[in-house]
Amino acid sequence: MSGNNNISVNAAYVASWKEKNPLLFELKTDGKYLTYQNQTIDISTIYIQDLLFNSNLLNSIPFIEGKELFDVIKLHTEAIKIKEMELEEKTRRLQAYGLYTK
Amino acid sequence: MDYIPSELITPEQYFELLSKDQLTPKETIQKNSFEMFVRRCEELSSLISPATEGVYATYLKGITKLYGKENLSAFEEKALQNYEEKLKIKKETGQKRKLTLNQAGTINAIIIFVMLLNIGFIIAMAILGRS
Repeated sequence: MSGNNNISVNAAYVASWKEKNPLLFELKTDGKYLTYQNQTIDISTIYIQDLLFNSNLLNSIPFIEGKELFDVIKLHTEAIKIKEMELEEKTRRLQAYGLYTK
Repeated sequence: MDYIPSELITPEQYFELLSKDQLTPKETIQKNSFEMFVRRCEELSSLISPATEGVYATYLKGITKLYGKENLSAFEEKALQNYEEKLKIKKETGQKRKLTLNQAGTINAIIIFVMLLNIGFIIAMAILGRS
């Protein structure tokens, strides 16, 4: 999946959720940024469908509150960022100790 | 427009901060930011993604390692205390539920016994009525 593709897929997922659930009317996205009331998060680097691996969330989509869904997505973006930082640090250490060669 | 805060730190960095005796203002913000992340994970625990669960699991591993550590710093002791309080609250909730189930079971048994007595009474009256 290319970088541009995940943006359009993110937008499509959120649009389909909003169709199923009127409570999500305050969620707005262009696939790159997700906005809820006066908060905005960058979702261009995540794959929204990863959230659906949790079957509780998948089954909650038709009736979940906008704020709750926004908070779950915000947590996911933060977790992805943390994992990237962990990977960068691991790579740096491997390179520093000469165990990793390109 | 870009939200992802610069105070985000990894669980490993969090536990490094906890091991210090004093924190700079920036480090305090980073520590509080991570603790807020953990709190939100616990609040939304049934809905979070596998990636979020993974980070939370790494945090839990770090906390349980503190049990075996000697000469804990003040921050480490506080973090362990908070974790134990959360566990205690979970256990108490579980125990209360068990007591309620036992009580409910006793009440159900009494109701069934009384119903059987009533049915037996009605049958006895019917038999006596015929004779």
